[in-house]
Amino acid sequence: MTWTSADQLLVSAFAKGKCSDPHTARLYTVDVKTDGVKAFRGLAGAEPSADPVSDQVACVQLTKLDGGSSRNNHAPLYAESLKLPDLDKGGAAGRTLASAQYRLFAEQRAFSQPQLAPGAQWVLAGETGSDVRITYTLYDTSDIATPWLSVSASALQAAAWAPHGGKVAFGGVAASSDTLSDACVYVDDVTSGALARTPPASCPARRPA
Amino acid sequence: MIAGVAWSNDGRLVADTLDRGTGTSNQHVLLMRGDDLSTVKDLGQGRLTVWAP
Repeated sequence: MTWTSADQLLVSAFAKGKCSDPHTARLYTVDVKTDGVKAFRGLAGAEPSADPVSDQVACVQLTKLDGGSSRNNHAPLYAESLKLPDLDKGGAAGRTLASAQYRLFAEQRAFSQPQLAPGAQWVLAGETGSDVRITYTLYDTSDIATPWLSVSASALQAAAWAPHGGKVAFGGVAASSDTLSDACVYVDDVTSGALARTPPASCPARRPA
Repeated sequence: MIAGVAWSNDGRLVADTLDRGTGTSNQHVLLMRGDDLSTVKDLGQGRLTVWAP
């Protein structure tokens, strides 16, 4: 869920019996003063991230294209789109920033948990697969989705924009490490392009209790 | 591994580390300046829920 104003949340909710399945999610607004819940233009979507200043939202839409067959282990074919609807344009589904098609296997996602930067010039999303590994990609939202930076990490998805924009932090492991033991925090300055990380071994995964 | 990151309004950064060893789960909170990650400091066991405004 994400705040769109001081009084309103934008949330994604799932069909009954499909708890936490982003493939069935739809968007709703919640007025926290009146408890009123309304469908957000009837749009399908999951994992919304809003920037109230620019009135924009990033979210994902997943569409099942076929159910698969014995030729592909009955893995369904999905289309996943990274969408950017405006908050204040009724009826507008928003432009598609990027899209991908894949046969669903395990936890595969193309644009997992997108996070819109303050000012809405950038969006960070994760690509996940069958193991605990993620590739963060930072997209320029100004025209078409331009991948600006991609970093792979053996880690849970953990990222956050600085409150005033300009910098994004995410967790990972050192590029030279092939184990989970050298956890680190990255910060990317999107203005200069500089990528910094915590010093080696400064935040090891295993510490004495 | 890093399980979460969060910024304060004044540019500090916290990270939750998570170690799932054999039968254990060990969480620590790290604090650093967002413009100088070499300042990372271990605040001890725990998990950051939210920054105070």
